[in-house]
Amino acid sequence: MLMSGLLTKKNLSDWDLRNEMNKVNVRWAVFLFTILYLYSLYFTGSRGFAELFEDFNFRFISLTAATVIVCNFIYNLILIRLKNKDQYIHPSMKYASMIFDLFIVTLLLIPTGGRESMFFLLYIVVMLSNGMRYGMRLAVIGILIFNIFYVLFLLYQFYPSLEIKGMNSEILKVIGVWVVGLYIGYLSRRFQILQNDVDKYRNLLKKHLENASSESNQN
Amino acid sequence: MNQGNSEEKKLSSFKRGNVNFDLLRPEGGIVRIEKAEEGDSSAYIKKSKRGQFDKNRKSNPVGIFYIASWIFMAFSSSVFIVFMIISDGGILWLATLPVAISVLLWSLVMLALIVARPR
Repeated sequence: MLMSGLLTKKNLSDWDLRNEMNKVNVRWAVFLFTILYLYSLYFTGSRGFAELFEDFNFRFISLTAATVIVCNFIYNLILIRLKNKDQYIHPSMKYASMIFDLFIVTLLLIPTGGRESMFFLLYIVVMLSNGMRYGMRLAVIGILIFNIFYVLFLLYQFYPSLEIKGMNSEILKVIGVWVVGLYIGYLSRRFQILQNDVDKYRNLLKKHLENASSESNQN
Repeated sequence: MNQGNSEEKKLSSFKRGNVNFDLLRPEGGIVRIEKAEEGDSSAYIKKSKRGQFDKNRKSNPVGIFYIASWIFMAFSSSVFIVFMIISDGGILWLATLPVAISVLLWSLVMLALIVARPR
């Protein structure tokens, strides 16, 4: 899309495919650091940034790691196959991968300190990664899904009590993610407009250079 | 291919400018296009611009009630968000946050459009 300045289906698909392959690599990197940190917490028995819960055990870490490895590996294979066969990627894939990322982050929060877990920051990483690549629409959908997941997570942690102490800090955290997400979407849109302008001038320059060269050849 | 065609149709219809911007029109009754006299290029430019904007349709500008309701929505949603933070309430309050933020942002966008319209 951004390369040629044309909104054709092929260009959109290529843009999505390239971004998704990049996201897969970023996911491997973040996953590696996270899982190493979790195993180190488990084996050293240290407290970490927040108090660890009873759910935090070897089985949880291994199951989460296995889920991410299998899903990311299969997704990577699908993307490579699409690229090699020069096929289109479905537009819903980017939404699915973003929802998967948000789900895994929510899963990580449960045993690693609940609402005090440091892995809350990974939500912002997911927002940044998707919002910068795809723009405002995906950023807004991402924030909405994050909001739903976070409410469900808090309900899971505190049920049957619906009222918790320090709820205002939770609301401020969620508002913070909203502001970050919307701002990223806005910046991405500005970047796209600038990129389109640059492409337009590049095409104009190319056209004039071609005209000039053909004229000089005729002379 | 169908999807590609529908996307192209959407783009072309958007380019044609079929969005109703009546709310941005200047206040006043029907504004008709006045043909400029030949030779008077400055008058022609001014009137043609105004003419393109109105197209001899009845002007339907936003009223005071319309503006007041957007102001009310912006104000009430911001008060709601502040109340949500101060009240230290339950978890389910958090589920209403997307609605409150959407209403606040949308009403601010509409107010900015209304304030920026030509008068």
